[in-house]
Amino acid sequence: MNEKEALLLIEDMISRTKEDVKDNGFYYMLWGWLVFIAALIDFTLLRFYHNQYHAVVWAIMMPAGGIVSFIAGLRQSKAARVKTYLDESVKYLTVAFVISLVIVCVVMPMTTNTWQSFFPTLMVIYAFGIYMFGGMLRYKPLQYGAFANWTLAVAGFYCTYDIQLLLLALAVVCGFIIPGHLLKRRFNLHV
Amino acid sequence: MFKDLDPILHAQLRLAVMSILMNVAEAEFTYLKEKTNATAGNLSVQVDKLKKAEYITVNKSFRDNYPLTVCKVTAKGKKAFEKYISDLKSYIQL
Repeated sequence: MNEKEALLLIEDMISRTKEDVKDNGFYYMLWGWLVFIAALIDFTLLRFYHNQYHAVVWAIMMPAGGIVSFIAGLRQSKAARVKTYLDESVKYLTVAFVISLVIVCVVMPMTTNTWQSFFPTLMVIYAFGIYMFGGMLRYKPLQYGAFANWTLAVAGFYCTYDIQLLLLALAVVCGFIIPGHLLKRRFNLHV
Repeated sequence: MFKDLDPILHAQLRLAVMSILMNVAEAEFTYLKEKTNATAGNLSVQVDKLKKAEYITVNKSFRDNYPLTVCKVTAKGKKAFEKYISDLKSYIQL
């Protein structure tokens, strides 16, 4: 092997390990649809049936999503034969994102009497997370979704709880459902 | 003045393995085999040589009752690879 062949070999190996399109949008679609459905059920029970247990839907659907995500994550990590630097960055951001969400979702309802800030705060965290994920994956639809979430969060702080539910449903459509389905399509085109 | 190229790296398969490992955080043996198109036996010998030179670490374990070998480049390996590239460049420019 001469020097030029060595350089060509290095170039060839680098191109073979270039980041493949790995994200199939599963988590975005799962959580997007879960939050979307939960928000609309909550809204319907509250607005049309005046049911005092309108928020119970969250206590059922969110842990269910957590269990599905945990199982899917385990399977995914078992199937992966290579760990890229991007995978490591995504893992750190996912942990930070989930811890922030859990703190807001668990501690906030226990310590404050008003729900006025709850959903807008969630949307701010969603926006922060998906903006970062979009940057890492170099995927613009996620970042557009993040701007939609920030905008809807600001609007949400001025709205009542029931209207906030509709804003949240719209926020996850923009930030999770649409980018998730587009990611799936991109993934299928590359497989 | 020509610099001596690192003999550990200046071999086709070892250089291929190092080029892959420089580009990822860690990789399984099967991934390296697929990307280099090498036979398991030959790859195993070359991986062992890189390990003995302390250019990579090789972690052997089991997953679902199957052996799992994960390779990762070391700081010494990174430095050696960077020096190898710089030496190669000096050859080609002259």
